[in-house]
Amino acid sequence: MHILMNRFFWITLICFAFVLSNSTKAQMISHKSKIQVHKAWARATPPYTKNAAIYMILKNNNSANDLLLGVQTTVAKVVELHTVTEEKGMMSMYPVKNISIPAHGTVVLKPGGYHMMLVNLKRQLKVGNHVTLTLQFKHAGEVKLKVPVHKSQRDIHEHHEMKHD
Amino acid sequence: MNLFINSRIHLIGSLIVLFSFVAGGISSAASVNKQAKSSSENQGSKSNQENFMLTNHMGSKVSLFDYKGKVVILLFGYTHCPDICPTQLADMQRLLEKMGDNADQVQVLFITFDPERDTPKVLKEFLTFFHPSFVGLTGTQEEIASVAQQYNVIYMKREVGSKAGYLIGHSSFVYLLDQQGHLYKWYKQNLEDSNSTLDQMAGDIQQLIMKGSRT
Repeated sequence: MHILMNRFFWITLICFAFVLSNSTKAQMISHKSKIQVHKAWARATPPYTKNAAIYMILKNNNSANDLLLGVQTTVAKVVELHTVTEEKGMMSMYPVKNISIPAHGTVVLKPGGYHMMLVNLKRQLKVGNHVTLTLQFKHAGEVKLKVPVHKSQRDIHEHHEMKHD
Repeated sequence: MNLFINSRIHLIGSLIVLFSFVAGGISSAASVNKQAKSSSENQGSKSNQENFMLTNHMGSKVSLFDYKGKVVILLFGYTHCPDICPTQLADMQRLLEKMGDNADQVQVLFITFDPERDTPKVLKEFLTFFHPSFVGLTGTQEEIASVAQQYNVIYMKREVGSKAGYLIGHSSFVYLLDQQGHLYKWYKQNLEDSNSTLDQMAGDIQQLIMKGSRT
């Protein structure tokens, strides 16, 4: 019997095509999520304070380096990327154009180090709120996240009662 | 024979590496604290030089010696700083929690490098957010510069093209003063995890309080 007449041939081919298309789709989805964000938190701000800091861990699961190009949020006019350097005994913040995340590498944004600076806040960041951020990566594209507001770094690890003053 | 020599070399090498890690670890430990030297002979002439006068966040003139009787924690910063200054103040709030009932024997003072933008009203909102007892101090550029010099604090206004306006680079030690307003110790925190520094500070403050209650 000619192979093209064989129904098993066609069934197998169709199944194969189906599996292939799905795995490609999965690859496309996982390419976008190849930057993982962990332990993101925004520092709660006093009333009328102009600027705030957001910290997080960025993990690049891709086999190519990536660049964090920028961040947008509705809660502030502008988000700048900053680093902190110590020179001549002084801690100084510097805006940076982008933050490089090496292939299969991790970059930590933390107090005293890299951080996202929200400039000219439109509202106070209160504990319990969330800040919606859109991160723009050169290769991974857009990553949207909701960042919780905490008083300090310890609160993202622990679960404890809110202190009542 | 070769195997024996190799393992000896490996052992010595490992010990050297281990030792360097330990030595390096100890020297770059979470806090660096230095004790101010003050002999009893110097204290008389030194004491008035240590006093300073600034404006508090209620708009009143205050002097350091107004806080005599309390242990003072002195910090310097500015409210436009989103990272280091709020981190340090949040840590001081945690420190007061560690002090428990003794917290009312401690006064946190925050001196701004930025009198232009940090008006008394701005300072009040900023400081009381962290703890109702925290006091913000401001003054003229000259008054602030003079106090900064007293504690060897360095700072520099910088235009860095940020939409936040000018930023101020500054040293970020925390100063502990005893109940007579004399500099006792200063600390450099590990901003990412300040637990060990805070525990050390709490211990030092307890000692000062105990010493104070005995005299």
